[in-house]
Amino acid sequence: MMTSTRARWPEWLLRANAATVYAFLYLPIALLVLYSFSGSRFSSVWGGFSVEWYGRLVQNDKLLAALGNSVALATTSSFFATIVGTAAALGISRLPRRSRGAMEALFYLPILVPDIVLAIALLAFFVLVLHLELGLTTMILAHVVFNLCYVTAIVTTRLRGFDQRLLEAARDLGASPWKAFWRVKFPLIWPGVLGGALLAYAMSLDEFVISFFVTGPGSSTLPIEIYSMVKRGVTPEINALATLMLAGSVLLASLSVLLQRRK
Amino acid sequence: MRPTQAPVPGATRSENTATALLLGPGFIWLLVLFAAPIAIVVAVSLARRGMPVEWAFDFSAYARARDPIMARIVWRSFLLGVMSTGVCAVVGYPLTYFIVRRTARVRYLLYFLVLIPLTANSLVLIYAWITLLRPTGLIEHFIRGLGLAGEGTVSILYTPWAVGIGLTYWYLPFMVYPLYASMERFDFRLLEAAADLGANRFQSFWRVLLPQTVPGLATGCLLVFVQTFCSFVVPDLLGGSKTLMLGSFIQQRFLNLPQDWPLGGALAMLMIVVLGMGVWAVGVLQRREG
Amino acid sequence: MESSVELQSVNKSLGGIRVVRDVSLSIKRGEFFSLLGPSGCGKSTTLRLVAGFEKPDTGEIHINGQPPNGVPAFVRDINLVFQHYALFPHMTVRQNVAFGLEMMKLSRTEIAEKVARIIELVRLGGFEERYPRQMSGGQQQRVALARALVTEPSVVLLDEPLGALDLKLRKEMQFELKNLQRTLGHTFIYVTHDQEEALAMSDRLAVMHQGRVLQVGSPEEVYERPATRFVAGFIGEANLLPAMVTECRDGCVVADVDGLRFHAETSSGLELSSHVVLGIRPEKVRLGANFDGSHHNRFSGVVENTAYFGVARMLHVRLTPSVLVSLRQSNDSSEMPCRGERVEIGLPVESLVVLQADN
Repeated sequence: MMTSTRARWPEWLLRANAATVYAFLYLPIALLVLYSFSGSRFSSVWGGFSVEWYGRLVQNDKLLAALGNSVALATTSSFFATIVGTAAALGISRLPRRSRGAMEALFYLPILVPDIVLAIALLAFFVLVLHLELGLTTMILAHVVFNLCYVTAIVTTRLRGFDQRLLEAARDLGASPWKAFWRVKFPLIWPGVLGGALLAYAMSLDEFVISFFVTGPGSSTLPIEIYSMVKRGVTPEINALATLMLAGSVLLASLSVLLQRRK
Repeated sequence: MRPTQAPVPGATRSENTATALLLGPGFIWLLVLFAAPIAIVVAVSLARRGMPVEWAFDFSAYARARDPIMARIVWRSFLLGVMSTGVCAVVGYPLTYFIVRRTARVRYLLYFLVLIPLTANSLVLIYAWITLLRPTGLIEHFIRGLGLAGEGTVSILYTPWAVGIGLTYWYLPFMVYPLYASMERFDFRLLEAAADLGANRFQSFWRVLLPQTVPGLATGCLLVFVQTFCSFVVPDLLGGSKTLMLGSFIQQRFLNLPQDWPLGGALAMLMIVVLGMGVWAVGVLQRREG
Repeated sequence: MESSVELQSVNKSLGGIRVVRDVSLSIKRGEFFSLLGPSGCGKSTTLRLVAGFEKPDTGEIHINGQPPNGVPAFVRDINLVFQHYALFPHMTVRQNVAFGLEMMKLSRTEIAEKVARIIELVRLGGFEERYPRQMSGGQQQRVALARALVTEPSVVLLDEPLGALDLKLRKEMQFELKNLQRTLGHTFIYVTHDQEEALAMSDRLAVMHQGRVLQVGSPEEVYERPATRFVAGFIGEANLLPAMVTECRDGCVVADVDGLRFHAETSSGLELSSHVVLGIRPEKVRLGANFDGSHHNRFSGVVENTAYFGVARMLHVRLTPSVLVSLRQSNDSSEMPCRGERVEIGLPVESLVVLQADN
């Protein structure tokens, strides 16, 4: 798309706006990364290049335990979410048009509802109705709720681009419904499935509010730990931790997007 | 020649079973772990304060919610929500326009760059803002350097301004995301046609581009407003106890002492009502634009 | 000869609309049979009914003598070549073609052999490892054909397979398809809206309109003796003259067209004063005062318009204020009359067809 010679707004104004926004968005990130390598305790003073804070991180048992919890939580919940979510997307695509809209809306609700509402709802439900001990299990149950909606949304989009006639062709050539699905439909949608799984994984790792409400003793996750650290006071290790987590999230997100764009 | 097999009876019925089996687990999961919990919130809001809740019909939570302190908190949340949404819209719309008009590769890159802060660890980003806005933070140095500061320390942190900045920062991608989808579908030749017919730049924007992108803009505003109005983490970390917002208040009533689950539930109901109204309003707007 | 595919009073509604109405067809083994008609006439739906993707509401479809009602598509011995090919984008040409054979659970060597042979036959040698997106429309079409033919089905269904190709390529493929069918001997059921295509390729064809079969016959039959006004108008060009019957005796009919007396032949009994339509192909209309045949149906008129097509010439001759007859003349050395000239034309009785006034 070429910019027409008679631009809608003065081009420089648009550029300035865009530049400001990107600077605004990335200034904090740049600072984080920069100061994670600074040898000084004070975040406004540069103390020479140092990886001291990264070293301290590795020795921080509490953080390592939280990391373990985060990974376990993300892996388990995205695993179940992917299976259930993909199946749901496939099921929804088979519904007649009228019920399809309502069902799609239902699967969007958990993402639309404010996280704090969902958090207190799950807390109340676990404590008052199910009488469950709060811990990793309750967190997994909670995470699957929104994760499966992400997966369903992504796979549904992928399915929309799928040509039904390919299935007809496969059936016509002698394939059973099962074979037609595995040889023709699945190979064409698996990038979407994997993309959804990765997104769910990244979302789980990052999720704070819901986890905060339904966590129990010993099942703290990384975001929860960061929250406590920040509330207690500013420590430089957080810079290093932040940089690492940023790198990880960016990696996962890039992979997810690349996969979704793949034909 | 292919050998003929026996006919498969009730082919459509087995197809329906397959659909049910596929959809079942997800549907049941949402029913049990989403719909039921939301229903419990309603129930809790109508129960009596206890340890944490006594199951007796009690409307007092809604009465407590009408407390003037509550009103101030709700009003503050509403104001901050509106302001953040406004800034996001005013800044985000030209930004999205800029991105959409680039060539394909640049466009994807720029769009991706906007979404990264969204997917990256958001708590961590708020922490970055804390360091920036602290009394000894960079921003303060910057302001001092410009000679704008007077006596004492300048602390933007823990003021509504800090919360506003944090909210705008965190939720800007939510404005860009639906706007981008809407603008991508816009046929920019319409703007050329308008110019050809004598419209100046503002008229082309106001009468051609804007109406066609209202659905995206409306969705973006809805997403940003609901999220900022109901935000908990940002005001909690950047606003402290001086700038209390609805989300943090609910959190305190649930996890801190004194506990008041019914009040928290009642306020959560308020959030749901606001969400419902927003969705309805956007739906009306979208239907009007066809 | 046992019929390959037989439809008996098949009806089908889609979305509340009767798309296929009371269709009965008997397609012979080894025949190249076309379903011809404008868009929306029900021909594609009929094809899908035969393929098994839809079930008829009423009526039966027999394939090779067996009623396959209730038997789903993947069991029937029929293959469909889709309109837009429906090639599996994630598979190479070889994998696409081999798919049907793999579903039949043949051995690897057998599959490789058959695939090689069919690829040779459709002249796609060298393209085996390519993906569909790397190939042109014509090549993709041949892959779709190979995929459908390799399992040696007794009936091959083709749903407007040449629609997406440009004119020159389409004419080449028509030729290739016809040859292929003759070589392999499978029954082909071919759906198209292009009447030239249907006439050129088919052994027999059925003309459909609004869900009904209007006429079934060889290309000659359908062209020379169209059964209804629609068929006459849809296939080729036709002069259609509304007339009123004044005499009818022993198969000879006299009808009045705006004061002009026309003689024609018909096998059906016609009532006096009933309204009919007389049809004649432009190339059958004779120019000049002298020609063999009866002295009937000779009229004088003024040339209103002429057109030169290189291979032929068209004359539009006005006989009366409401009767205009088109005349097609091959481009031989004889001179073409010019506009305004008065000429004599004749409509041979044997070339004149009597059609119902309403469809």
